[in-house]
Amino acid sequence: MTDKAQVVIIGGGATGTGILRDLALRGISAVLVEQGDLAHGTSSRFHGLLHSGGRYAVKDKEAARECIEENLILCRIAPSCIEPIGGLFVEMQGDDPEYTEKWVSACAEAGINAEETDVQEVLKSNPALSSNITRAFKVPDCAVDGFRILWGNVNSARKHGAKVITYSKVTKIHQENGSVTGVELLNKLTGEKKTIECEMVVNAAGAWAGEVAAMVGLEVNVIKDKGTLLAFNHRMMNKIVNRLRPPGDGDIFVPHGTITILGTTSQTVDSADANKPERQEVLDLLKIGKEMVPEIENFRLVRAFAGVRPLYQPGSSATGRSVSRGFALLDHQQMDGLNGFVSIVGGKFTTFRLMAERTADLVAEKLAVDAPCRTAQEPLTDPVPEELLKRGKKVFGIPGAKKAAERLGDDFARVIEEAEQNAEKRQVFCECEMVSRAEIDFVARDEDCHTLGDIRRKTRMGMGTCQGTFCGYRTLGALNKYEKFARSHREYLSVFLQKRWKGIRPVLWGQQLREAQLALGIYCSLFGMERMK
Amino acid sequence: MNKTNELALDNCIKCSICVTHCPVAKVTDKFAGPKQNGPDLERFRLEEPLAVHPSIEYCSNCKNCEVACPSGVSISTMNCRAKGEYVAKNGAPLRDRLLANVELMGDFARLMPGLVNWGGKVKLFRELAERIFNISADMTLPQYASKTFYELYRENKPPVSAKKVVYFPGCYVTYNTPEVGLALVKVMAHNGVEVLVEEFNCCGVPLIANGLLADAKNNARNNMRKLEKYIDAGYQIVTSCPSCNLALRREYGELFDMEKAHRLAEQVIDVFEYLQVLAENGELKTDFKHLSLTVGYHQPCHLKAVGCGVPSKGILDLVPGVEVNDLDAGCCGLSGSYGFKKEKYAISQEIGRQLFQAVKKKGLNRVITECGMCQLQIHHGTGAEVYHPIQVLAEAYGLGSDIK
Repeated sequence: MTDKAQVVIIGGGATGTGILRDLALRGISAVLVEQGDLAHGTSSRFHGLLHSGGRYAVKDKEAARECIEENLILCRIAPSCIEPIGGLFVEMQGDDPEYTEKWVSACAEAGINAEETDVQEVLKSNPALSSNITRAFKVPDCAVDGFRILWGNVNSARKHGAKVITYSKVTKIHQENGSVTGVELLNKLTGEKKTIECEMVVNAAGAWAGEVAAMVGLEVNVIKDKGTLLAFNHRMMNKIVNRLRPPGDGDIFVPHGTITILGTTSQTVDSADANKPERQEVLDLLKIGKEMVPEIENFRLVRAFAGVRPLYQPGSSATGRSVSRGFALLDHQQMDGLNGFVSIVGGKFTTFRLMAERTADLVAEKLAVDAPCRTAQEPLTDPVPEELLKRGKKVFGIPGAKKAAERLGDDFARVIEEAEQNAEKRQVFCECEMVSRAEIDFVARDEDCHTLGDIRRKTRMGMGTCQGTFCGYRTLGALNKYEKFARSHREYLSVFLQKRWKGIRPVLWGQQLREAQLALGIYCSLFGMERMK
Repeated sequence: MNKTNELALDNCIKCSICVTHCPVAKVTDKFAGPKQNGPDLERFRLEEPLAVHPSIEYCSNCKNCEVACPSGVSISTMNCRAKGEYVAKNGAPLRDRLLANVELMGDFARLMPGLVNWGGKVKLFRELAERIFNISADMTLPQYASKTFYELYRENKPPVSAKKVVYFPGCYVTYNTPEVGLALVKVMAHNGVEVLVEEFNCCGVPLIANGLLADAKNNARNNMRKLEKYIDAGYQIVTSCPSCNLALRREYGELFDMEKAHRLAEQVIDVFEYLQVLAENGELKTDFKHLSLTVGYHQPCHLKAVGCGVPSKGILDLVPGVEVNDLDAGCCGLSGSYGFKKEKYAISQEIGRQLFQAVKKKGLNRVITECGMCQLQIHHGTGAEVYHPIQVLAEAYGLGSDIK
């Protein structure tokens, strides 16, 4: 099978989907190719923090300025993906007061509104925080849902003719006379092969960018930097809390939807797939986190997870936190003499749109397309009408409707209709995260949905307190009627459960240990999973 | 939200034992169950205080969820607060305000109890009330006494004694079954204990169950003000109603964060718990007469929730000729105002069916239970005569003539 497009984008993370949307809005035909499910990589394995830029203000003014500009743009174009809860930077006893002064003026220079606030007030509304806080500043940090931003990009791009191919690995990049001419794909689920002819290839593979560049014989030195994060069972505070000191491990708490995320660590790894959180990392994070939240050991952890940051610093041997969080757009025509191949590396989630804009500018220039970037103005998602929300509340309850509306966007109306017509569809399959059967059915029918994990990423099913113990088998039961979910039940379940266990194992104590015992009882004793066919 | 509750929230492992013990969820799918509106949605309420499932109104506040929870989660308290938030935002129907305002209804009825009692039995009036207020025309209404307990107490003051307790009679004894309160006063006097009373307000449980938390807190504050001097002087506060006991012992602290609530909790005691202590100290009079009485015993849900066991059993076992059959058939289903509501009457009767069958199967025509509302429901569902156990004890001491 052969397809044609002007541009093939490799990598279905925030940057890749951002580029897809940007190109589509400029009228350039593009196909995005992703080796797994969308957002399975670093774009779903971060704090969920939309930086105000405060974190980088002292060390990297350029990155800080980019952050605050992008922060304001995303709040405007994608309000349904963002919780504008605001952040705090807290100085604690023993922290360097001179750094605080430096930080305050650095924020002012970068255009970040950092306003000092009363410490007692902060403690009163956030009783989990330590009374050793000496100063506190409010900044416009936000919590952001990486999944939703990604799907926002994809939905918008699709409306403008763009295509997305998931679970397909690029096996070869064709070149002729020093120009890229197409890519060869292997579908990991069906084994099918496919060729896409194109004029340009954009390498937006993040932590995998080095491997992609190697296919055309080029070297792109991406430093793979693993960051581990912890997810707590509930919101421990009502604002994002950053430690006011030079950026280090375990110094940001982000209340995010129903949970709180604490992170991160920083460690160079060999492989982009090295995203297994380790128990020692968890213990290290808790130890540092305890300084800001003294009772941290009494809060329940539901899991740990890790992402691999793709850092880029040409011609330097720096690693970890000393590497810039800035991004680089590599024009391989200029650098290596290969026409039609561009790599976008480094950066961070907050600036994905800007990275996409710069990349698309370069692509458009090379394709001689004269169309400006529109992603900073065009809304990413349309707000869900009040009337629909009201109808949703009747079938799913207040939080169920609100969360489903945020996740589903334009598709919310269809899911409500199903639930209104069929009472069975109103059943809540994932009770921890309020995901209805109607939503699960809707998502399962999506062409990009092939596993329980895909449904999980699109709905949050299995991401709450019980980590899939109850919703896992319920969802599987509903999938029974779809032909495309015809593989063995045991395989679906064990892949899903093992992925959950990967994050649970390093935090296996206290209530989560009881939870795990319950899960074990249900799957191994009640369902006899070992004997399941 | 205070820290302890947050931590209890983390204890929920979603085992759903609470759901399997919920009498409402057992008979209808209109209620999403205690887990959903309790610990599940509590996580959402930390972000959005109004995150409530509208089916919360089907919670009957029986507290079986909290009793059953093996993880120590305050499920029912979470549900009560959530219902309070829901009602504060959406308002409560006039019907709920009426039914919850037990004191107001009692004060109205005592103006002409005969007329009210008669009216409550006229089908036409009941059908009108059902059409206008959505109050079930089928549920038996409580009968109002011609004099309140407080009036009768003043007419029959117990002898002064050095040993004193304070009695919190509750609305049902005050307005509907003052004979229960009188029996209690006599039994205590017989054992050398003087019972003091004060005109308390409704404990607040009916208001809490209807989500009217602000009004309930008001009552709690008034009662606290009246109780304060007794608490400070170290008096024990005796109850005969399990719901009042639960309110004073637990809910004033858990729901309203009241100062001194923990001291109140230590001093509140069920009348039979009190008598049991007397018995253990060898101070209980045992001059019982032979009664030859066979009764069924129903344990009210709120007595379970208090967690004091069944103290009346130990005492009644001492009375010669009394045979108490534990009915052990779960919630009666009425849950205060719940079963009077038109849309919930059928649910309420369905919940109570097991209990009614147990009474009938054992061929009992007399039942004892501590809760006034359970008394009413059992009578409604079986036709049996239903008494408070203190009335049996008064009879055994030769102090009463209530048992027919």
